[in-house]
Amino acid sequence: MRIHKLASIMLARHGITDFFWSSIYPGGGGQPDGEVLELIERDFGSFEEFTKEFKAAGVSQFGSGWVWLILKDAKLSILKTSNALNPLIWGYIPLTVVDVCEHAYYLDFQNRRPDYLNAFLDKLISWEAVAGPLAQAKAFVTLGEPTIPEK
Amino acid sequence: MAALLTKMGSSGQARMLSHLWKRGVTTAVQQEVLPELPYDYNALEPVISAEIMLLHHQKHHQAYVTGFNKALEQLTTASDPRAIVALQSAINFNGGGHINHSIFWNNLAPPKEGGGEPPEGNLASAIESQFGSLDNLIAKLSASGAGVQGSGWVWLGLIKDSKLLKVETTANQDPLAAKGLVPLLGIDVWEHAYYLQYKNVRPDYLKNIWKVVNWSDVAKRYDSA
Repeated sequence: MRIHKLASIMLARHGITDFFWSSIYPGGGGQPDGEVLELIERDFGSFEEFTKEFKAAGVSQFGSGWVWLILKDAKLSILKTSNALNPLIWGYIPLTVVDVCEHAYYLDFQNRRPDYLNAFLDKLISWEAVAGPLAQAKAFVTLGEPTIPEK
Repeated sequence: MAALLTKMGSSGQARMLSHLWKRGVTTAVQQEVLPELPYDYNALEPVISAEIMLLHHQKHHQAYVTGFNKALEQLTTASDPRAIVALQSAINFNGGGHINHSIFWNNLAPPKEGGGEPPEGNLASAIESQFGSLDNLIAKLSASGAGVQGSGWVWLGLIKDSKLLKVETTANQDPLAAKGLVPLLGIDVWEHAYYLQYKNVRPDYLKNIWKVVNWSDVAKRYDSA
């Protein structure tokens, strides 16, 4: 039973870490545009508010874990999880994630997790990668007012 | 006045505030202070590097002290149950971090001050009778420590009533007291405790740390529990 538990934790961590790799790229960072930016402004008020909330979640995730941008009830939201937990457990849709386990940043930033989070948002995050899951989600989630296609 | 306060340093100021508070001069909340390390930052080399000790003590432990004091301050001004309950996790995390690290620094010692020397007296007998040998206990502690998922601690704890020793782990900065045990020896297995030196190879850190474990401190805690 213990081996099954360990295996499922490892599998979960593997899946989340894979998602993390596809959430970043060298030369990333900055602001999104188009629909992603519209949704961020709709659900957080502004891009600045989003970054503030994202960083606050990052520094307040005690211990090892992750900070996610998710789609929850057709709205963008920020979620923090510990260790091997991920938003799919609660039926939320993950759009991007940052690893806040110490091994993710310690060699470059030591204890300075806030600096690491700044670097993630300024230089690493792939907003293009957010568009993918968002587009897929629209197949079964209505994000805005439903539109009737023109004839 | 400012110059005097600066010269006193933060621990001096905290002691002054505490003294004034006891005399009823001020209603300032009693502040915790970062305890001094019982040895130099490089004293545990090559087992634990000076760089790690400096960051661990001056940055990580200090952050727990600062966070705990801030949460306590907020607690004194919190006016409704929701606000008070919301502070619980910050108090547990930062307070636990302060408690755990205060024990940890004393659980370690440089070899020239007894680090690595096997325990004697009552603790030694208890280890022998309950685990067979010190090597068996060390193997168990190392295995448990390596198995901690994410951040946490591995402990040698004591069940006070029966004087039985127990190997236990805790997550994040949860104090061992929350599991009903008296902490005797704690090994920090958060990555900040070893990553700069050992990278992801936590088992190597756990293999080496026994060279600087201060068993006489552990024995004192056992005897006075």
